[in-house]
Amino acid sequence: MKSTITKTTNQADKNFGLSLEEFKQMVEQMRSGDYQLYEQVFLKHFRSCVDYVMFRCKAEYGEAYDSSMDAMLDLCRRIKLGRIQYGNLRFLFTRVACQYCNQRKKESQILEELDGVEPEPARPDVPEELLDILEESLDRIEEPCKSLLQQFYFYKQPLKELAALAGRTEVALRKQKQRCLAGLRNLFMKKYNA
Amino acid sequence: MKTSEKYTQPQLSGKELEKTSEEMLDALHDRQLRKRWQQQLTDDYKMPPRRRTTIIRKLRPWLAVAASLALILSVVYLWPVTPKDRYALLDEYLAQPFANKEGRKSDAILDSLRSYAIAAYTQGDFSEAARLRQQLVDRDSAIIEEDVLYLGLSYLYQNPPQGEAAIPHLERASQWSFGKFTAESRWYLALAYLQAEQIPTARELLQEIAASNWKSGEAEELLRQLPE
Repeated sequence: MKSTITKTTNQADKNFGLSLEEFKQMVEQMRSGDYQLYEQVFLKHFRSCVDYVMFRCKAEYGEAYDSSMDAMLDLCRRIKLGRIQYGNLRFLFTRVACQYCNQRKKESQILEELDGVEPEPARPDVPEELLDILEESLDRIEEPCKSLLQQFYFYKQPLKELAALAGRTEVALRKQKQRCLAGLRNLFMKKYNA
Repeated sequence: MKTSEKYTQPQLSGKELEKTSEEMLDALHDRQLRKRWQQQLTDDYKMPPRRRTTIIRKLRPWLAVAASLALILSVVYLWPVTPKDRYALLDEYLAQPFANKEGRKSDAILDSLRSYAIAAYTQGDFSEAARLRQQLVDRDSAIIEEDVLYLGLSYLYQNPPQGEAAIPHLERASQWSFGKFTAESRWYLALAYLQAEQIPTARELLQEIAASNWKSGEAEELLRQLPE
């Protein structure tokens, strides 16, 4: 009995105090666009991650901060996609942050594979002004396109689940998503060419 | 081709549209989350994206140098300096005897008496130097410019200085035809005038020196300290 409690406590400690159930709940919330628990957990440990990166990678505060932020975005995406399971979030957070820091320092161009975690491809560097236009276009696009695109692309909710929620077939929703993407790009290009 | 460049191409296939849209929307969502988290970290955890102290830390060595320079400059410029009076300036300008380089000349010019005078001057025995030079000048034959100049200087460098005795010799040296030491003679003559308290004459000569190229700064400084 004692060893079970200790094991559970250790597991929770490795996962920022989250139990397995709480982790699953957090993933569900994130896939519906609710980041509150994720933010609560990771922002609380952000400072210790920055300190670790500064110490381990001999980084300046700004570099360590940016690298920790990149890691938090990276883990957020991976968790939503189901590529990270309940295990050792504390370790992953600092390791991924260090990898981003090394990448920034050009010491390592490739993110090395973590234990059981596939490396993410490099994120595209999109100019801010284009993101401004895209944000404006997404605000202007009508429903249900806006929600569909946000749920699928932002919150990484699988199309199958979205189709089930909407009472439609996956194929039909895929076609609708394609039309929504074309509509979004039309709005984007009008503003871009203006 | 970059994602953003591809997304802004006039024509895109269905697959390209899907792929570039996903990357663009990912980047947009990352930006939104980054902004929100940065705000929360700043507000709730007092963790701004950049620390001002980081910049200050980088600049710290330069700031230390700048502070030291500022301190030195403020000491130099703001310290209450009492202007030196003309007596102090006179002492300062006569502290280092005008060098004698006659020793380089040939023996034909340097007779024994002159050699003794030079040696006495160089050794700082200015009264002996004046006595020997006076003998050379009194001979009134084969006198050279240096004889009258160093006679005047030998009086001027004595302790106490014999300004009045120096004046006629320095006047003679300053008017020497095609003299090599005219500027030097005039400068030391002005100092001799001052030492003898002949202020109007000294002022007149110092004004001329102040307008020349040599010792002009020193002359101006002395002029500022002369009584009206």
